[in-house]
Amino acid sequence: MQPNSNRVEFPSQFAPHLSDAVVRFRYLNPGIQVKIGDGFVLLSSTGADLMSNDLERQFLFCLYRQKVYAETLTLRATLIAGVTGV
Amino acid sequence: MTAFPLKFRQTADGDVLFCDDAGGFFKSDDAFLSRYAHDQFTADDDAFLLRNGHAFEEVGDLAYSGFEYRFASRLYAPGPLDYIILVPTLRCNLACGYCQVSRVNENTPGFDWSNQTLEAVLSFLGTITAPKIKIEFQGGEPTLRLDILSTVRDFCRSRFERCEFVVCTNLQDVSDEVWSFLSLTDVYVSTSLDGDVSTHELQRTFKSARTAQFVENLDAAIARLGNGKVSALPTIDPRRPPEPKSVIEAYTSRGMNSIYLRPVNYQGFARKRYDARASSSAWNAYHSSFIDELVEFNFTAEVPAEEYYFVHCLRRILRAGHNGHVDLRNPNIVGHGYVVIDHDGKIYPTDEARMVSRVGQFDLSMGDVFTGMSMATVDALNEEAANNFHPDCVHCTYQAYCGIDLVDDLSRYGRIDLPKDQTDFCQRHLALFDKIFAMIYSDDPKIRKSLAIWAGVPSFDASIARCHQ
Repeated sequence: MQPNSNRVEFPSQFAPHLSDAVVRFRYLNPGIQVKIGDGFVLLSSTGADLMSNDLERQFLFCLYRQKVYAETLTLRATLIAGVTGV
Repeated sequence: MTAFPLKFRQTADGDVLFCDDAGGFFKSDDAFLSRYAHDQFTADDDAFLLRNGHAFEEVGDLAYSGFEYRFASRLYAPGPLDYIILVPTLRCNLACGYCQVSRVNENTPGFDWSNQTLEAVLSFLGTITAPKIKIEFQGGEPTLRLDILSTVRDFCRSRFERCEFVVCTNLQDVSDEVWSFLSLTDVYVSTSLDGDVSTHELQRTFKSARTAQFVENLDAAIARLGNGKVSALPTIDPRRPPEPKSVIEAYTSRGMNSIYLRPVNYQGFARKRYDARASSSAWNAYHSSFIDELVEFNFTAEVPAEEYYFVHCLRRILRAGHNGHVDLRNPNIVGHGYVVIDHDGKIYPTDEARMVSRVGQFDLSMGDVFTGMSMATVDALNEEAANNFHPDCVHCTYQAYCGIDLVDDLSRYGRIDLPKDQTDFCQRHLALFDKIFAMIYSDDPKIRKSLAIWAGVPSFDASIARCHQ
C-alpha cells in the first residue's frame, strides 16, 4: 500500500518551535512519520485511514501551541509566582 | 495589549474553543487561531480580549490584577485537618465481586481495631486543632463494630465544637441498635444502590431474599431519617451497565435526586476480577448517555435530578473555588486536610492510597496512630501534584477546571509519568469537559433548562457562551 502523505507549510516565524512541535506531534501520533523540510513538513502514514485535512490541522495546532507556550512562558511563570509567591 | 496565554481545542462542530489559566473561555474559529498564532490580532480581537478579561495593557493594571485573582481562586489550598475516614473493621457481611476496599469475611478474626488501636485513634483525634470534625466510618461494614462507632462519636462530641458522622453501610442487616445510632441528629448514612434493583442483586446481594432485605432497609432509612440524611451511590460496570432510565427511576422514586455514578474501580480486590484498566471509552459513552437521559427527565420532572460528578465539573467551569471533591483538585495536595486510618492503625493520605498499599503496589502509608504521622512519602507525591506546568496539561484547554490524581495513576499504571492522554483520568475528564462545553454552547431548550438547574441559577444565561469571530 502506498503511504498517504501530506505537506504542511508554515512561515519562518514558527521555525524555532518546529523541533519541539514535531516531538510532541509524534508522541501524540506514533503512527505518523514526520519529515522536516525548509518551511514545511511531510506527514505520512501507511494507514488507510489517514485524514489529511484533520492531520494538517492537528500538526498546525501542535506548532501553534508550542509557539504560544514558548512565548508566554515568562508571563505564565510571573502569573503563578504572583499568586503562589514561588 | 498583551493576551493572557490561551489554550485551544477543536470542538465537535469544527469550531475552536479557547480557555485561559484563570478559567475564562470563548469559542472562535481557525481564522482567529491563525491570527493569534501569527501575532496578527485585529482591533476587534484586541477589543474582545480586553473586554472579556483575556488581555491586559500593563502588569499590575486592573485587568492583570483581576486575572491574577481569578487564577489564584482556581488553585486549591488545603485547610486544617478536619476530615477523617476511619476503618474500624475490614469484615463485611457481603462479598461484592468488585469490592474496592479489600474486605474480609464477616467471621474472620484479626481485622478489627483492638482496644489499643481505638485508644491510639482517640489520642490522634485529640491532637486535631480544628474546631469542627467530619468522621466517615468505612469498612468492611462499619456497623459490625457499632461499639467503636459510639465510642468515637462520644469522644468527638466532647472534643469538638461541631461534629458530623457519616456511616458508609450496605444497609443489609440493620439491628435495632444500629437504627438507633443512624437516627442520631449528627449521623448521616451513605450506602450503595447499584443502579436498579436487579443490577444491585447481580452485583451485590446475589439472592432475591437478600435483595428484598436491602431494599426494605433502604426505604426504611429514607422514611425514618429523611432524604437529606441518606445518600446512595451506584457502582456501574461499564461492560454491562443498567439502562440510564432505570437508574434514574430507582433513585428519584425514592427521593434521591443526586446520583453519583461510579465506574468499577481498578483497585483493591476489584482488580483481580475485572479488567477496568481500559474501560474509559465504554464508561464515557455510558456516562454521556446518562446525562442525555437526565436532560430528558428534567425537562418535564417536577423535581429535577443530577449526576453529582458531572455537576461538580460544570460548576468548576463556571466558578472558582469549587474544590469539594478530593479527586479533582489542582494542586491535589494530599495528606493535609483529610486522612484515612485503616483497621490496623496505619494512616493514609486517601482511601485509594490505602488500597494501593494493601494490594502491595506501593506503600503510601504516612505513619500510624501509635507513632505519629510521617510525611516523607506524601511530600514526595505532593511535589508532582499540580497540573499548571505539566508538559501535557500545559497545552490543555481544560487545565484550569481539571485536576490531577497521582494515586489513581499509580494504582492503574504503577507510575505517574505516563503521557496524560493515555491515562484513564485524562480520558474521562476530556470526555466530561467536552460534553459540558458542547452543552454550554447548545441552544437546545432542554439542555439549557438542565444546565440552569445544575448551575443553581433560575435560567440559563446564554451570554456566558461567548463567541468571537
